[in-house]
Amino acid sequence: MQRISVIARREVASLFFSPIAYLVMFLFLLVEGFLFGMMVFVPGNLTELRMVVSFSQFGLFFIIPLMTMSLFSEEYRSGRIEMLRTSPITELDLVLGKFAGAMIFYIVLLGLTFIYLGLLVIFGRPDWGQTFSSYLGLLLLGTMYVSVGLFFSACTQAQIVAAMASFLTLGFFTFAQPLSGFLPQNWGVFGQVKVPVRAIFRYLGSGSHVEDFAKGVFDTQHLVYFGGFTVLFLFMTYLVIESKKWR
Amino acid sequence: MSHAADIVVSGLKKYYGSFAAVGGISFEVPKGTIVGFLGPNGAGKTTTIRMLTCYMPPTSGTAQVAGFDVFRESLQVRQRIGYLPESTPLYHEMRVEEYLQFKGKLRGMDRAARRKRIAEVAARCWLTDRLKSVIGTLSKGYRQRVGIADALLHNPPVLVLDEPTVGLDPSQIREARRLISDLAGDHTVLLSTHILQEVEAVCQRVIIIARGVIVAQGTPEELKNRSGSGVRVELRGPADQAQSAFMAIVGVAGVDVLQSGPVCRLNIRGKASVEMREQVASIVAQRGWGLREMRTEGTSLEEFFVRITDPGTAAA
Repeated sequence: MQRISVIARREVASLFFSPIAYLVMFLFLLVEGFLFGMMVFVPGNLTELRMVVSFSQFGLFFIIPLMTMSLFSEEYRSGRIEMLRTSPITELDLVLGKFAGAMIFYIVLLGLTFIYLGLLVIFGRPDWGQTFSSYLGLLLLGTMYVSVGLFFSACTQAQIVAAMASFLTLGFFTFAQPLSGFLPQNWGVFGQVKVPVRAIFRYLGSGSHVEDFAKGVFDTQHLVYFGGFTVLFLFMTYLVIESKKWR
Repeated sequence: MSHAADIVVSGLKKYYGSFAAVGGISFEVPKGTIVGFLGPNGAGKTTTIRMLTCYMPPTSGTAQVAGFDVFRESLQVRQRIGYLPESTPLYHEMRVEEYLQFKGKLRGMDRAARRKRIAEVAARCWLTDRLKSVIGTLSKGYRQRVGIADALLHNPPVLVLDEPTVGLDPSQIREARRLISDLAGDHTVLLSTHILQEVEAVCQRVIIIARGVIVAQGTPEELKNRSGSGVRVELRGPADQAQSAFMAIVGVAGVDVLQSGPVCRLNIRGKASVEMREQVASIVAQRGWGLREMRTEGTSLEEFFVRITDPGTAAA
């Protein structure tokens, strides 16, 4: 546990040292500022973050890969992975430490939007329960997206490849729900079995799960969705790191 | 396993696909000694080191470091080993002190121990005035020292140094060798290097590896003796007759004709520490060849190394 925090703290320090971190913050504030400006700070609109949360994923799916692409790739490329892997820490410590470091950075990103929230408080009276649930939704969404980025970073020493693979995968999670309407209700496989593709895509897309949080509805099935994918990608990251030494 | 050895390797093999990078090596490094690990590029040095430092598991065979198995007790081994990888990978955005603090924390050292040891290793590696410098701005030599300081930080019983003097200037190389020599006694050191003078200067034993197998091991003196002495002669006479005449001398291992013609040059290789010059001279005189030059070839570890690691010669 202590070693996880050592890795995480170093990772945060190094993220803030790199120019990418500021680009990420800039893009994130730009996207969020746009969303707040267009969806919330409009006369007659409700003082709620519902639309902000629903649309944030369209920003996060390309911002998070920028933030996670270097996590492992850069360690491979520089050879520091040899230093880390010969230190008395387990592969799990390493994976969780990197993940925790990226999550701390993500939480800082979310914290930056409190500026907008502050404006909202000055000019209106937001529902605190719903606001809390909105931020919880964004946190869970980010957790899952970061784990996907971490996984692809562990797969390659080329940051750009890690970023592209993360874009594509997160793009799928982001757009699966909004685009599921274009899919047929069912797909017949061999003319026999009917596969409910539209429902499957709706379910796999992160949008349908984050929506309830935006409405202020706390439903544990969404915890299962976000938690499940996060654990799955962290586990795959662990397997990739663990298997590297056998090659 | 004997208690007197800190590194015990037996039948260690590593295959990359069907290619044997390390083809079954066994050796021991006694406690408190400095052992030179020599070999040409691609001989399997780094692969062996990576197996010892738990970076990759062996395909077969076992290795114990400080009494722990590198595969089954990997964390205990890693806790007791100080490793300087060949490329000295560091976090370039960190300051020297921050980096050493980070490595100390990873090894579970408490705050007081870290403060004390960082001061000690910084003094030992001439880094005290650079503790606040950002690693990325340091020269190669300073980065190398940071790597050595890091390997020493937790005062490990076993040190594995892969080419520690690369990138240092001549006076730093001397200092680094003195530093490594000082480590003997308290630490067991496996020193991988290309530089043969380094081995002669600091190592009590040498292991030479080529094509994934150990081709020779012993003290530097033993290896030098094994390479034998040589006599270089230049004479006016038939090369083939001279060659067979010199071959008849007791203690001669081989005669190479370097140049034939009216004036020929031969290299007479003797077995370990045999004196041949007087006999050579008397043969030349008897046959009436004109002797133009005769000198003893200085035998060096380098010559031995080149000969023994040459792919043409069969492994000894």
